[in-house]
Amino acid sequence: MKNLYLRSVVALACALGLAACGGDDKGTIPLQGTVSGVNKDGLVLQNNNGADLAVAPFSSIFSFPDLLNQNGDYNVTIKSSPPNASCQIFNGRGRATIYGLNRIDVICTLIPHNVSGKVTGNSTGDMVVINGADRVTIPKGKSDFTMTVYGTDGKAISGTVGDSQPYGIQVLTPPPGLTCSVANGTGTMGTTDVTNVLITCG
Amino acid sequence: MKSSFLRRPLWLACGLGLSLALAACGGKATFDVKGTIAGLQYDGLVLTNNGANDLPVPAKATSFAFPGSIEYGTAFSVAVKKQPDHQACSFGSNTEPGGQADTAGRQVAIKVVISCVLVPQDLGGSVTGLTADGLVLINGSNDQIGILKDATTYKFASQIPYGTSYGITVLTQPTGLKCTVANPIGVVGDVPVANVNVSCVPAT
Repeated sequence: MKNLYLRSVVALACALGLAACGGDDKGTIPLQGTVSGVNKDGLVLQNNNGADLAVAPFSSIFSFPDLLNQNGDYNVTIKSSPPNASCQIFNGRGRATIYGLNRIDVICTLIPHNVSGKVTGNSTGDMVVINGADRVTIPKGKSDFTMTVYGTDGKAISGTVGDSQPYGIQVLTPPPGLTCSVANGTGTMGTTDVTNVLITCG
Repeated sequence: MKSSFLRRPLWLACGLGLSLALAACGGKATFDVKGTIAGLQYDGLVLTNNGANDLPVPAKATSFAFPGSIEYGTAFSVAVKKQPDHQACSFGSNTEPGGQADTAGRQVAIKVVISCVLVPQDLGGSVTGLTADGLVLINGSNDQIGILKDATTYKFASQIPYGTSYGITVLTQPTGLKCTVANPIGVVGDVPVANVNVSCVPAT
């Protein structure tokens, strides 16, 4: 009697263990893919509108707990993106085969913001301002600037800074014969544009 | 006896078939040694074929072709004799169409694929007086590095390509210290940048 009781406990534990690990114990094919650009909580994926899979910040892969059966259809979708990013999924839908599945990629882009400010004293000529590799030329006498470069369609081409990313504005080339200093030039991008960089030349 | 009698016409047929097939597949008997180039911005690139036949390729070229042509079955091997200024060019894989060396006729046409990138350089410098943890340097929004206490040098993880600007600032000061950066701003040339030196003193 005692033995039987013990046995059923073991059986139950075993079943729970299986449920926890696999769910469907017939599946053999992992449903997984790559993730990039996530630095905050909030990315949630689903397969076939099933249970939520929360993807932790700085993950490079996601992996659903349930394995797929051979010929099992999957449809991975993004239920929500992190608050500071917009995410897209590529190859989210398909059918598992003995060879596995097509590579699934979830690519998140941090929401871009502008960095801009004012310039004084740039009376002798053009100047060049940088944020690392991003460069803009500020024409002689212009009293404001933005690091964002726009295309003819009005969309930003370069110079924006992603939400939660650092920035450091510096003067690469001052106007001829002048020296410039930058106030509020270094910081970390929040949820709104930075507009308070102040460049003073003299 | 019977089998060797049979074999002869078979060889004949095979040989005839093969030459017909080759003629059909090759069409032309000669091949131009040529290809495409992506990303070439500067002068100075010189290519060779089989170690000779220097072919200078000018800046911004998107294709190249060696003068003359080679016959079916002739081996070719394109190599970079001299890299262009500020750039490094490399070939597509040899095991795939577009590789740098092959035998003329194995593909319908020779199409060597070359791609060129700006040579990347390290960016870093020395560190003095760093007696506490917490220092974070940034290169604009491009790169970020945390430097531990007692470090004497540092280097950003990303190399930066020729002609790219850099601007290093302190994002976070170490606990109780104030660090300043010498030579923080510049444009990368043909050598590594190793003079963005950080010196830290007790904060007052």
